[in-house]
Amino acid sequence: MALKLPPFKVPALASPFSSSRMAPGSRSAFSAAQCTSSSSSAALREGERPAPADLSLGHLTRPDFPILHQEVNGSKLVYLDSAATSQKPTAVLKTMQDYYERYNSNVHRGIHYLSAKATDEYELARKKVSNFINASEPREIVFTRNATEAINLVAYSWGLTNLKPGDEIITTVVEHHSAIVPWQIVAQKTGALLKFVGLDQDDLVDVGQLREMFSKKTKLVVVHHVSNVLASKLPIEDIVIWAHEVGAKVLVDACQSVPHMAVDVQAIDADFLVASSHKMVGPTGIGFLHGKIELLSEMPPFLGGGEMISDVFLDHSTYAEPPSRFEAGTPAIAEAIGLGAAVDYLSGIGMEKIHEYEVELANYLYGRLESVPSIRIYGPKPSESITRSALCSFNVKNIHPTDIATFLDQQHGVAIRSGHHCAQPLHGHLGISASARASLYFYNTREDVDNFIEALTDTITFFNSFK
Amino acid sequence: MASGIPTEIPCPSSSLRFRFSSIPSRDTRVFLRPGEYGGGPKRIRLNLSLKVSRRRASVWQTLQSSTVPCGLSAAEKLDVLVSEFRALTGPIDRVKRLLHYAAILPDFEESARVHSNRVTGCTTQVWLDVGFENQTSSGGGRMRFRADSDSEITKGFCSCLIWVLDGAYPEEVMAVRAEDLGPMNMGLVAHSRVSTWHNVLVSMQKRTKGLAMMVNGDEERDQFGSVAVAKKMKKKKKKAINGNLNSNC
Repeated sequence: MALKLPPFKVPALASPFSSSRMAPGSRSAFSAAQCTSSSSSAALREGERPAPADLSLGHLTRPDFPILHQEVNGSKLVYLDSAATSQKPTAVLKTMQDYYERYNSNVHRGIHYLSAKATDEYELARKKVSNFINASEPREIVFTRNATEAINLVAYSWGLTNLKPGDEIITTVVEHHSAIVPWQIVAQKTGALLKFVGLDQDDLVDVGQLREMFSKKTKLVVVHHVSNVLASKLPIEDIVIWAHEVGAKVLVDACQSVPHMAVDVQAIDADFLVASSHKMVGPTGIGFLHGKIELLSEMPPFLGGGEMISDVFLDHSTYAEPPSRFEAGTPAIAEAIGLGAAVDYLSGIGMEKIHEYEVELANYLYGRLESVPSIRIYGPKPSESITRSALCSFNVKNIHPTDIATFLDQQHGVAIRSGHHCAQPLHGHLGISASARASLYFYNTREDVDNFIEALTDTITFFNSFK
Repeated sequence: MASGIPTEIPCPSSSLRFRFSSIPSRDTRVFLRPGEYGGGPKRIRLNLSLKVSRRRASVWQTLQSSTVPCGLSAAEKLDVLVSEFRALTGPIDRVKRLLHYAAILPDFEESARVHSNRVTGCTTQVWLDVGFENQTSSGGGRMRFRADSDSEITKGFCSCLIWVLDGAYPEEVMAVRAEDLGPMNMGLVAHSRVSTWHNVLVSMQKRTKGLAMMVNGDEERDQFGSVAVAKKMKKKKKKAINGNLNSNC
């Protein structure tokens, strides 16, 4: 006679990250005993709970994200659109609520307690971001509305002042629209020339072509760190060296790298680097520009108004020093403080740990997706020498990606993105009008990938049955 | 013929007439909509519903095989469509219905697949060809629409919009609001930037306005608002200056 054992009870696991507020500069306080870098490999029987040691980073962090625990259209939500925007942990939400409940006040000019407290927290957030990317000092961090505004700041402030007719701006066909359009506008105003680097046979930016484009006319290089479509990573440190050899400045779009790996701006040595809060578990409405202080000090204002001035007369004004010079008007105070909380949260996990987990997740996603019939995945195949970020843009033969995304959402509760992902030139280069994209973050699990593949297979079967 | 009972009839080569053997009740509703193709290519299933007047001894409805005035206004056809989609509770049922309508969308000429016919803002590629049919015996010119897309679901949306608005008067086209199409949405709100409904409808309305004004050739008859309103405001201001009216313009 078989002995029936009582169900194995696992005590409720409180996330180690939910209320952490790590000291600036702290990168990894995550205990190796609490998770493995490998996702759970053993299949669980019904009613069986995984032992803590088997839990992946995704399983451990999911309790911190209340939005992930819901049903959409009758199915459990599987959120695979973090490259568009990430979800926010309770710690970030509570921090912002705490600001509005306890010390909401305008910053920098107030005398009273609330204003002083708000100013302290706002500037502390700046310091946290500075430490997070290893900037030389907090003055090199300019808070903007998002990375797009940060790029526009460089374009209108540095670009209009320093670019002349005949100067060349080198960029790639892979760039996000926000890294292309501002430079088209500035190039038109200044007479500078915008030059684009294409792809090689492996769907990677042709770095050789990029290097050959450098000349004495090159004044600026605008490149992504990690592509939001191809999942590929550029050798940024090398590009910066080549650019500086010809006297050119470099602006790095780090929107898809800062949230997912340790980024050291001093090691990269780029002149400008931009990122958005909402892609790194922070709130929308805030982003930042990192600029070398000697560059920022020479740049004229971007937007004029309060906060960014020193003295105002009727016929002229003098301006504040960076970063205030570039932060006109009342800033997004709660959002900046929320970004600081996001930095704390990520630092509590450790960016190396996050990256290690996501590389594994990326490989798993690619491997499972690759096995789907009639699919084409864009970007390089992962290998020993090529690491992909945890996203896959793809197309299925004869089925429009929007149809796929619609059915995945309506029938299976799986959230992916379809369209051009703000990379129309890249899609044109690939010969397509649109693609579907599944993008993961550290709160996703292998089970999410499995659910996605199962749903995708069902979706393809459904649409093929109508042909 | 009783209302609401699906009736299979041969696909008309030119026109289709219906005769009621007795005076239908005031509440009789006859809906005419494109149904699913069943059987051979020349058979089309119709559910018929038509509002009729008690005073008529018989009702003749003439239906062309391509245009479907059938006495239904665009607003009434929209009601029919909304009712149909509201009855489909499951998302898979709505997708299936849209795919069926996509399959019966009339062919789109390659020559019309030009940049000027592209509907901007959609995540899919959508082409919209707009024409104006001159005054008919029933009075007034009518709008003609053809559409196509590289997405099957979007084609289904377009097919529904075409059925509602192809052959409608310009005023009817302009009267449709994006919110009216809400029940057909597949998860997107009508005013979303990437909502096909919204973008195609807006494109239909913009081009209708332009064509109608061009055909009428008279700004005073711009019944769609902007120019007439501007002129009225100017007149009002002039009157105010002359001391006849206080105006805030």
